[in-house]
Formats: sequence, C-alpha cells, structure tokens
Amino acid sequence: MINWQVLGQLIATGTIMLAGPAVIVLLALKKGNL
Amino acid sequence: MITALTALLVLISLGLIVTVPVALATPGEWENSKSDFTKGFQAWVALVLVIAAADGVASSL
Repeated sequence: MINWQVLGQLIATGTIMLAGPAVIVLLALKKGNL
Repeated sequence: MITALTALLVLISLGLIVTVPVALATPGEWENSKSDFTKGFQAWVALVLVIAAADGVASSL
C-alpha cells in the first residue's frame, strides 16, 4: 500500500534540496579547502 | 523510459550541486574544468527538454 513513486519523488527532491546548502556549509567550515 | 531519464537527471543534478561550489571555491579549479561543467549544464538542460518531450508523447498516446 506504499506509494513508491511519491516516496521516490520525495527522496529525490529532498536530497537535491538539502545537498546544496550542505555543500556550502561544509565549504564555509573548511574555509573553501575541501 | 521516463523513469530512467528522470533518475539520470536526479544524478546529474546531485553531481552538479556538489561539484560546482567546490570547483568555484578551489583556486584555479573552475578555469581548468570549465568545459566539463559546461557539458554537464548542457546535458542537464537537454535532459529536461527530452523528458518534457517524452512525457508529451506518452500522454498524447
């Protein structure tokens, strides 16, 4: 009864939306030297 | 078909989201790999148009 399509869409959009700020924060913490 | 193309779009998006800020922050890295990133952006835009066209064809059948 799980809607796998919606689950996939949520996971895909979630990871894409969270990855950007995460990379920026990591870059800022390591002062641009990753 | 559309699912595979969308999965590819998600993967390219994730790749660009991670690599573009790192390349911009690393001195000299953007200039070195500019053409690769341009190809990545072109592939991303092309994929969006291809998915839209495929969806249009699929829903008009």
